Parts: sequence; structure tokens; C-alpha cells
Amino acid sequence: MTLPQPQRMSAANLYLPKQVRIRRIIRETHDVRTFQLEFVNPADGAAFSYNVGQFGEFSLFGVGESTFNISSSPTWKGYFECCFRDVGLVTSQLAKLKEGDILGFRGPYGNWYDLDKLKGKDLVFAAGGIGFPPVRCLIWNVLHEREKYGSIVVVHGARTSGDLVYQRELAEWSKRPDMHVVKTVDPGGEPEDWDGETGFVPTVLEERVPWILEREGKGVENALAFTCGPPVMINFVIKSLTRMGFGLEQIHLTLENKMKCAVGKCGRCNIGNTYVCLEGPIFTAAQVAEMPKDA
Amino acid sequence: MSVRGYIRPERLWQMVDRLSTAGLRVVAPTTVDGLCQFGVVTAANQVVTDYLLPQNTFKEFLFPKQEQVFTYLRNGDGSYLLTEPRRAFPETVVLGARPCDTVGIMGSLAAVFGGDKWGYEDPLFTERRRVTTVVSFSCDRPDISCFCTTQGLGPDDPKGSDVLITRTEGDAPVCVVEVFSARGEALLDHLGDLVAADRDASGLALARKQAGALARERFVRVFDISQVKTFLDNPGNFDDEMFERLGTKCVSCGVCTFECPTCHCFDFQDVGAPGSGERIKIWDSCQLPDFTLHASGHQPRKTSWERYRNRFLCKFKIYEDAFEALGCTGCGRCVRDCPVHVDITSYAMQANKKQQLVQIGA
Ligand code: SF4
Ligand code: SF4
Ligand code: FES
Repeated sequence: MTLPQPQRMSAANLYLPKQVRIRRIIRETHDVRTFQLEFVNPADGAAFSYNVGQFGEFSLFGVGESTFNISSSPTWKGYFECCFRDVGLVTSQLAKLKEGDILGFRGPYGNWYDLDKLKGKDLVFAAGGIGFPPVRCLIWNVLHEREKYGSIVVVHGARTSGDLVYQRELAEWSKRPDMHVVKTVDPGGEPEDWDGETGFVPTVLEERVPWILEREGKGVENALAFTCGPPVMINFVIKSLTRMGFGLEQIHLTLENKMKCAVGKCGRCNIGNTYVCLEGPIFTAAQVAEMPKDA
Repeated sequence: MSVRGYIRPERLWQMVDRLSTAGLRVVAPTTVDGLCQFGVVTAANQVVTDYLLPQNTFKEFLFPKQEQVFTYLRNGDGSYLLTEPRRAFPETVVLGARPCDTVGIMGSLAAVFGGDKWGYEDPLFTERRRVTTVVSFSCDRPDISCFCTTQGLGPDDPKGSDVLITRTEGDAPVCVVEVFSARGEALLDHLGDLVAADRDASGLALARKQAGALARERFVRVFDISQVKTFLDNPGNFDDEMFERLGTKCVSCGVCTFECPTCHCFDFQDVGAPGSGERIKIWDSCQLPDFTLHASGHQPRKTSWERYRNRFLCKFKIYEDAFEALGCTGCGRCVRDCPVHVDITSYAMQANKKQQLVQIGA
């Protein structure tokens, strides 16, 4: 008798990326870019699908991987998007790429929004700076079947007017009669001809949203809120929403922990016993309230 | 009954020669860089026979310190040729593992890298595990840092072992051989007449049991951890004063994590030029300052005591909650080898005591 024979590799290498080509680069701000991506190998593209709110690992070979939300709506076919700010080792190199250049991609990973639970609800989106993409994908997905949802209010803020991302989309949405868009900049960040609000996202949210909903004959009972942004902003957004009458269960947020593997192995992304890559990145404020201050 | 016979103590390490001759890779305590460490051996005379725990665990034979995930080479059209290395995982026998390491690696690490709970299986680990047979040796002389009995294991615990060998006490000791798996059975065939079967198995079983019981009595680091999990389950205790008090002295060297059988953290690094190079999977440590540092500068765990709090939580709560596995097997390495005497058992003792005080309403 010999030792039992090893079985063949049963699982594919978890960490081997697929290749995607940058089909278009959109300069959202001086340091924020959107990449529209398509799979180099059509078979990879055909096999790829994702749900709204999920994320991926994007790699530049020779530099490394970065974790970004998939910022497009799953209803868009033929390509998907990511959006990033040029701040770190990998992103500063990504920022130098040109259309046609090739990246590695692993994903999709993480949980997503269950649209069935959003139908018939009034939706409030509050995003700060580069926290907009994880919210923007959901907005577009919802707009795909606009009639299935109640009121839609979007509050987007940044340090200065030049730091607001997706400006052309904000302009497009502002013209729509079936949604409300509020853009704001931190005090001091407004140019001479500024046509938006001045104030921090949590403050503007609390000033404007109850009034907008009231005008439509709505309260907050039937509303859901979605937020993403710097940790400090998120904390204040939750406080504002709570004062407006939102329950913690009605508030959803995308956590942006540092990640490497995205599959619960590398030990990087935990907040207490919660592995954000496995159980998140989307949590309700009620879930986050139970987590230790470890993020 | 699991008892298959015995090996005479003076012939014990002849197993190396038999298994090596049979074409198996043998990992056993040997001298590496002047220290007793698990390493590959081919003959009995390379083995360090007088050891309690080698400096390293044998986890690096299933989860290498660093390994290539793939190479990349840019083609003329800008796309890349991504190539996985030809991986031939040799049939490997770990000889002389200790029960704490065996549980930590074959149980806990396997729970993280396997796909049972969350559906992602890391074949770089699981494929190696499939070709690894573990022959553990029961401990008879635990030192003052060993605390596996407190962690619910023991010096003769067979969990995770394919074969367990226990040396009996008394004037004419023998090494009793027990088998716990099909891999263990197959291994016995290679050992041939090294394993004598000319004694009554129930007598051997009894002597082996007595040896285990005697070894248990030699533990000094024995304490109550029954309330530790309850303490840690209360989110309010995350901010307990003990974490800063006990952990401020930590110098963030990472030794405790690299030596630990259950620590699984790693990083990916790209090595090479933009046009050609490799991506490696390399050990990392939650004790190192930049482990959770965001590109934006945001740092969730700024101080060494916050990082060690994460390590303590990982061992006594997170592992159980997230992977349903034992986080700390009580091998004592992190207690023995921390340069500044950060002691995970004092964390556990104090957490337990604090919870007990709550229980009695103090
Ligand atoms: S935490 Fe320390 S004692 Fe426990 S298994 Fe790891 S190294 Fe051993
Ligand atoms: S606890 Fe000790 S061994 Fe671990 S990182 Fe800190 S100083 Fe190093
Ligand atoms: S990103 Fe590796 S464990 Fe979550």
C-alpha cells in the first residue's frame, strides 16, 4: 500500500487576477479618475457578473493591488468602472496609466444591496469626497427602474468645488424632476460663482433633507439612507440622520477598510471579529454600533 | 483502539531513514541557523532529539514564509502573460510535531485557508495539507510557558495528528504508536518492523495513558479561562484599561506572530520591474505599524498596545467567531520569546478575573 494519492488542485488559484483593459479614462477631479474597464479575454467578460455595492482588487503588475468599489451599475453592459483618488503607492501609479493599458482584476467580492428591499422606499444618499462611488453605483442602478422607488435625494459634498466627483452626473441628475440633488463644499471651499451649498455634509443633510421630503409629503419612516465617506464624516452623518428620525437599521454604510486578499485569509480588514471583506463592505449603522472602535 | 504497537526509544528516529528511503520528504526538528527548528532531514543523525518545541512551527511547510503566486511578463500588445509556477507539492511527513502545533496548523490554519465556512479555498495551503502526514510526539516535560491544558488541549492530545507517539514512563520505556487516520495507516506500512507489535495493545494503551496523565501534572501555567470569551464578547470591554496597561511595552517586532502556529496574516508584494516580475505571498503581522495603515493616512490601530489588543482578541475571540477554530493552542512561544515580556496569558488571566468580578456583582 502507498500513501493516498494527492488529489489534483481542486480550487483555482484564488489570487490570480484576470486582465482588464482601460477602455476610457474620465478625469473626475484633479486627482480622481474613473477607469472604464473591459475584459481582455472575452470569455472572462462573459463569465463576469456582479451585484451593486461589491468591490474588486485592481492590480498594476509590478506595483501591487488596490481595493476599489465597483462604481458602475450592474445594468451597464460591456464594461464596468472603478474610481480612485491618487493618494497612495498604487493609486499614484494607476493615475499615470493611459487608455488601452491593462490592469489585473480579481472580484467581485463582498456583499451587495438587495434591491428588492429598497423598492417602494424613499432613498437618501449622503457621500463625501471619494466616498461617492460606492453610493453612485447604487443611484444608477436604482435609476434604471426609477418608477419602482419613492423619492430620491442625493447629498454630495467635498472639501472644495474642485473635489466634487461625478460633476456632470450631478448636473444631469439636477435637471431631473424625479430626484433632488444637493451639492455642498466645506466652508471656504466655494468659488465666487458657486451655485451649491456651503457646509459639511452632515449639517447640510440635516438642514435640507427633512424639508425636501416634507415638500413631497414624506417623513423618514419609509426612507432608507446610504452613506460613504471619511470615517469622521460617517459618524456625523449617522448622528444627523438619527436626529432626523432615522433608525440605525435604516442607515447603510460602506466601510473602506484596508484589504489585501479580499477573501478572509490575510487578516487585514477585521473590525473586532467582523471581517469586512467577508461580511461587508456594506453594513447597517445598527451593525456598526455593535462593533468596537477598531476602525 | 488506536494503539498499533511500539517503537524502542533508541530506534525512534530511524523513522527518518525509513521514510526518506521510501521517497518521502521528512520534516523534523533539526539545526537551522544554529537554532533548533523544523527543517527537512534525510537521516536520523540530522535530528535534534532533545527538544521541547523548535523555534519555528512547521506551518512554513504548508504556508511558506514567502512564495510566488504568479509571474507577469508584458507582451508586445500591452497585455500580460501571467504564469503560475509549476507547483509540485511533495508528499511530506512531519515527524516530532507537538500536539499544540498540530492543532494550530492542521486545525486552525486549515480552517482559515480552507473554504468550509466562507467558500474561498486557498489551494496553496490546502493542496499542501493534502500531502502532509503529521506524526506528533506527546510532550513529557512541558516548561513553565506551556499552557495547552488551559486551552483545552493536552501534552498527548491527538487532535489533527495522523499518528501520535507517546513515550511511556518507568525503567523500560517504549514509544507507543497510535494511528488516527488513513494517512497514518499508510505511513505504518513504510515503518515496517520498526513498529513492534509483540505486546498486548491494551497494556500499551494503559501505559501511554498514564504517561499522558503524568505529563499533565507537570504543567505549572494552569489557569481559568472560562470567562475570557464572555469578557471579550462585551463590546464595552474593548476599551478596558488592561489593554493599554499590559501592551504599551510592546515594541512591535512581530516575533509573537511569526512564531505562532495559528497566525495567518500575509501580504502580497510585487517584486520586479513593470514589464516583468513576480507577485509573492509573504508573511505579515498585525503587530507591525503599517499593517492597517490606509493610503489616506488613516490608521485604525495607532499604538502597539492597540495592535496587541487585536492579537489577543484574535486568539481568544475572533478565531472562534469567524472560523470556528481554536485561536491559541497554548504552545507558549509568544510568552517565551517576546523580547519585552508581553504575556498573552496575563491578558487572559486578567480578562477572566474581571469577568468573574462582574459575575459576583463586585
Ligand atoms: S498565541 Fe502564543 S501561546 Fe498561543 S498558539 Fe500563538 S504563539 Fe502559541
Ligand atoms: S508582543 Fe512582544 S513579540 Fe509580539 S510584537 Fe510586541 S514586542 Fe514583539
Ligand atoms: S482583506 Fe484579507 S482578510 Fe479581509
